[in-house]
Amino acid sequence: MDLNILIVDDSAAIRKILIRALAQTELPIGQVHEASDGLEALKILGSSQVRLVLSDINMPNMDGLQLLKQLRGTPNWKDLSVVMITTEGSQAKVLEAVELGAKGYLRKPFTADQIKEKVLTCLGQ
Amino acid sequence: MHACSGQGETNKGMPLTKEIMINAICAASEEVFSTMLGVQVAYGPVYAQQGSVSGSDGVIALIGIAGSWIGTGTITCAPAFACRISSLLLMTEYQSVDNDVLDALAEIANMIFGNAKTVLEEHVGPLGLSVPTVIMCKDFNTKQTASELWTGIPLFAEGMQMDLRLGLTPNRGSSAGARHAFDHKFGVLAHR
Repeated sequence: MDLNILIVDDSAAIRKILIRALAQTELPIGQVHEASDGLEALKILGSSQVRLVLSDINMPNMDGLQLLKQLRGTPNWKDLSVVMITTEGSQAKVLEAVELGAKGYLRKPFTADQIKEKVLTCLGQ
Repeated sequence: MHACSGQGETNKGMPLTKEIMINAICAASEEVFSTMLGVQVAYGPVYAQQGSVSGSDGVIALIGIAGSWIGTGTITCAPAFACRISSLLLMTEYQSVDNDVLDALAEIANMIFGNAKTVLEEHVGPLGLSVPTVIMCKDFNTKQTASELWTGIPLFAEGMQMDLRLGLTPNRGSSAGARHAFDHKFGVLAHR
């Protein structure tokens, strides 16, 4: 089964880099959806089958932690795998993300290998 | 004059010094350039700049910092360097500054000052970071109201220069900031 992924980041540059990094993982990537904030991500999740979300934290309108709260409070999405990819490295934010159920945390800057490792860990492979 | 050692690790909890700020920015920029662009960097002598920052032709990315200390971080470079950085980051050739280039510079600023912020937080407590603003401009002046003093670090890569600047001062509106301001006034922080 193809792995449909949603990338949530207000930076088009980072979305492009992540798409390229995912293509290098040799995983059976299906559709890769893009959202520029949490609100847009929720709209996409409402109309698409997604197995994994890679999300930034600091974004306008709805940030990554607010998105994570929304997902955990919604029965259909409460078990959705979410990896936070962000420059936000403060311990408090990391703990908050983990407490909200993030399956992984990756700090920018990142390499393609780190993305692959996080995705595989998240998917239990 | 401080030099850029690129050592991001510091003793947590010790008061914030200019040296810690400089090293945090250098370590972050070195990591961003090597990891995301595959480029090694070198640094020129660190300088202090009073008042406004001006330039003749270039791209400037600004990012706000707020908490017990407040201020602004900027990166400034010539359009050619902005295009080169974007080409390396996005693996697409850019000959002129367009939206992709501005977005790439915004993300470089976000990663550099975001990672530096994590180090600074070990000394001054939680800080917030704004989303970056990027401007392509000619004959510009940049002034921030929080701090009159900028610390500038020239970064060299691929034969071109980028200036990293940070203007940061204790926030007198916060209790922690007021304590830092007292220390700052009596020379405890800035001149170590």
